[in-house]
Amino acid sequence: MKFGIFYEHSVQKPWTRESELRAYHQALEQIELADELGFDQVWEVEHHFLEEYSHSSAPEVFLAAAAARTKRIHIGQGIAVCLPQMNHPARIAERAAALDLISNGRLEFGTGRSATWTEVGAFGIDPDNTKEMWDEVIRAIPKMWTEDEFEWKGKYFTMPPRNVLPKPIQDPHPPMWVAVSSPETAVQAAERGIGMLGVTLGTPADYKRLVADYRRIIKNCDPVGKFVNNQVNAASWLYCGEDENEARAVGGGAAFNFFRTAAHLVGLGGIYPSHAYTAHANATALLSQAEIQSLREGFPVGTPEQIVENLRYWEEVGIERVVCMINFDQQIPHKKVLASLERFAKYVMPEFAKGKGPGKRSGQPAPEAPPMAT
Amino acid sequence: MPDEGLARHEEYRIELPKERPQYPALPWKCANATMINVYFEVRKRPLLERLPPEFCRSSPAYCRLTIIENPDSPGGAFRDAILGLGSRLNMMPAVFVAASITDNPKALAAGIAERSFPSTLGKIEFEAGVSSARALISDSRGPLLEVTLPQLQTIEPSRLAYDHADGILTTPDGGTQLMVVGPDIEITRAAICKNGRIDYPAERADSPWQILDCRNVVSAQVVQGTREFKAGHQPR
Repeated sequence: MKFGIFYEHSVQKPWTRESELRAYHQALEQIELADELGFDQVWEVEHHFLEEYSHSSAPEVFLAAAAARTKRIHIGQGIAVCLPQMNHPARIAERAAALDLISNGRLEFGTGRSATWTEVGAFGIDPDNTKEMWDEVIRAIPKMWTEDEFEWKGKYFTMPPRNVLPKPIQDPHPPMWVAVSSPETAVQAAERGIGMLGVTLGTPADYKRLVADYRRIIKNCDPVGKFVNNQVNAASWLYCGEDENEARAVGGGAAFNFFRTAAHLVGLGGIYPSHAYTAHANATALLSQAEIQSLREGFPVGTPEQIVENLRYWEEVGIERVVCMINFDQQIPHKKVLASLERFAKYVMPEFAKGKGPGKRSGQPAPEAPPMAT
Repeated sequence: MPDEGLARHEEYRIELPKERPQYPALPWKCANATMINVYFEVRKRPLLERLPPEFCRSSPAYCRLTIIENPDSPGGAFRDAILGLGSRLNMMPAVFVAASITDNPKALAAGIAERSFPSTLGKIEFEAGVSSARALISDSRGPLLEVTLPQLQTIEPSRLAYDHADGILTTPDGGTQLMVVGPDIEITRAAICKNGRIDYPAERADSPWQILDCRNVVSAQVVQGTREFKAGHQPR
């Protein structure tokens, strides 16, 4: 099992002139350390206008800085919003290829379509069409990367023959992924032969069914790219504490803050009835108290020993990599974040470098999946 | 921290009449009700100024405008309209009712006494056909707001779900109490409109119906079904 980190660039109020500056630069320092410690991926989201929740509207710029400061860690666009009215597909391909060059071939290319009215509504995009738009764009981009004369006449964008430049250094192109927050998208990822980038902060049980479906279907996929990327990432939090109480207080508090901020985003399905979004699907699932409680299963917040135990659950449902939010809302002091990463690398990573563990922490099967939050 | 509401409960206190008008006991079953519902974006500040402190605004700041024609009810035929502020109560989606109007004195009395909405008497023009819908809301001083839905497309009713609507009830002793009125229409037929419009036929700068002016229509629906015009309850 491998481990990554991801950033939303959340910036909690009250804001000062330096709030965003601090969030960006502390994240870069954390990524440098994560690279040295052996974390293998860093992902950065693309969101627009989401106050406090995410001030990360130009992830390629940020990731270019991260790439320049690091040597080994893979650089994940998590994700590029593949809606032509928000990002022209040729601009997505150009920026991603440039990032692949700057990082010496370390780009992981995540795709998605956005889930909030704040974002989609701002660009005049019809929510009913976002899934189709995404599907068209992800089929075009690998062609832009690999053809000298790319031409497209699609439903959502057209382009006369052009050589889209630069080309990525990875041959034939960077691995492609899609953000998955519903069973339907997991199936669509598998059908298209692209990686499953879990973005629901759920439990291993939540992922169990998704991963099983994904693994079964991708065997007979029709890849949109030049090769199949059959990797599965899950998303979670991480805080490796000095002791259990400190870990719960610091890491658990940051997790609660995430839900509180996310709960105020209006999911598209909440105010725009659409076949493309579930009714009352908020940007991030609004979880019941019971569901929040269940997050403790597999929740990598605690002492190193507790985290090893909890991560074994993820291993058992076939997750290859857990990608963790390490400081939501800058609530955890920067020095504590760095110390948490160091403790994790020193005490937790070696346990997984040895291979699969003996089994579940209590010898019990992982709990059955409840209905998946989207 | 999400922005909390800035309004005091007292701002929603209503002077109750000394003699309470008589009305049939709630709930009223309203068969063949038709509802126009529009979500629209508003500016943050006027919304926060009308939102009680128990609530936080959502992102984006939005309102829900609901206009219902009730051709048949124990209180007689009536139309009512609410202007709801999209918000969060205990991190869950909610709508706080900042203004409401009805054209029926019995519905007005029941609404103030048991549903906690700050109702006034007014006039509501309402037309809803298969392909289009329109409504005009007026109070005693004249027109406030007009909704036009020029092209309707039928959709599956299961694609729609509405949040509860909350209000500040004035209690008989002059106090105030936060109340919740659950979703009250069982939808049997639904349509959406992708080019809905809200217009303001006459300037009424002091009215919440216009202070919370539409900056961008998000979505609009027309639904039909059986409505239960019911009393509110305290938040659980």
